[in-house]
Amino acid sequence: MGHNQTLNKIYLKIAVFTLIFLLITVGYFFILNFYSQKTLAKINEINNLKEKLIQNQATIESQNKIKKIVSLIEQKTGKELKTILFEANQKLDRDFETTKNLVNEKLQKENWSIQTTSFNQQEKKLTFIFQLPESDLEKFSNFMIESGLIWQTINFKIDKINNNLNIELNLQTK
Amino acid sequence: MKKAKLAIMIIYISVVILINGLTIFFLAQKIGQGNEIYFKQHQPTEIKLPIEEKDIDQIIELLRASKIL
Repeated sequence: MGHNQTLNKIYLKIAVFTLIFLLITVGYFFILNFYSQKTLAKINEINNLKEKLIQNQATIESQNKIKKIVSLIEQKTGKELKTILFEANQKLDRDFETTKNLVNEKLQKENWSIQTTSFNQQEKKLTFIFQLPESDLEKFSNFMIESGLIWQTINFKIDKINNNLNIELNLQTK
Repeated sequence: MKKAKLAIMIIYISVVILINGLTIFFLAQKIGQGNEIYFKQHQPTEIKLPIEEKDIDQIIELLRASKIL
């Protein structure tokens, strides 16, 4: 009877010890996992900050480039950019009808044959397809530059047909 | 009794070694993951500007020809 009791005590001790040992092990892995996840989250945060830093550097670089370009323009023109933009806006603030009449008048005056015209008053877009002799190309380019229509051009196609040039001109108005 | 104690000691030591091994494996795995995240290459973002420095002269010339300047 005494021997059995001693054995029972030993089994109980082993069971309690095993239980405590298992609990400690589970706790240990739980803590290990918890802190490693936390560390990984921090590393991820650092990585995101690094990415943001790179993006900010790129933005600062482009802003510096813009500042440099603006100061170069102002230096070369002797005018402030605001003034240039104001003047340009005044000159190029051409409405739909004025633009349409300007191009039509030029085409009729120079006798350049109109192939197709299409006007989209809602979107304020105009398309002119016309032909002109190859020798008139300079005249046409001068007209585009001097009238400021080049700044309203959204698309431009030119094809050579025999001695003539077929031009498709897409313009955007205010 | 001595044999039982020895067996328990061996089991205990084996479990401790197993736990240590698992810990090392787990840590190595997490360090690998952390390393991968930390040294992940970032694509340098490039912001393209509508005009470049080399185009300024041409634009000014065009503005002058258009009598805007």
